[in-house]
Amino acid sequence: MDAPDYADALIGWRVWLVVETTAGLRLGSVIHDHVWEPGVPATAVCRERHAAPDPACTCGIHAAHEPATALPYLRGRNDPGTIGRVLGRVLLWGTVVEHEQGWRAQHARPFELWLPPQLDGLESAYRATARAASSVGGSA
Amino acid sequence: MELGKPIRTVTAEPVERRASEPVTKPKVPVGPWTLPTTPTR
Repeated sequence: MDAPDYADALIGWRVWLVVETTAGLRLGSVIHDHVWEPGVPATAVCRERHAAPDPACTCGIHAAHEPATALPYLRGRNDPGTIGRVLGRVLLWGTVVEHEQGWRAQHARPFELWLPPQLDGLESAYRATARAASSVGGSA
Repeated sequence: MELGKPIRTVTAEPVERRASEPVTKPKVPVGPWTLPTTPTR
């Protein structure tokens, strides 16, 4: 195995939907129909069926260098079942395409969430893994 | 999300992840081992 370019996960900014599921409140992707389960790293999949992220594609889990780049996604029309949107930081690892203003990553996990008080329950669901950078590679 | 132009592709692997990877065992058994000899005075 070749040595990685970074010996730790990268940290970027992104916005999630807060969606109601049968298991409770969960984070969801704004653009794609994907629910982020607590403790389960998200893994990018491309509809073009190549490995994600590919430099020549737009696939991968997107995150920005600066929160200002992600902030516009806090506004938008939500589907039924979506109760709001939250800003947060996300751990990124695996193959990562670096861009001028952010990254597209192979794997990701929520790291830190900025939630309104009425969503404290959601934070507790993700607290076990958010902020736990040292366990990013684990399966828990 | 508008991220601008791609710059390069890198790999990021947390150290803990690499440390948790199983150690590959050699296909050919090494040895036989020999005990170190005690130096005589």
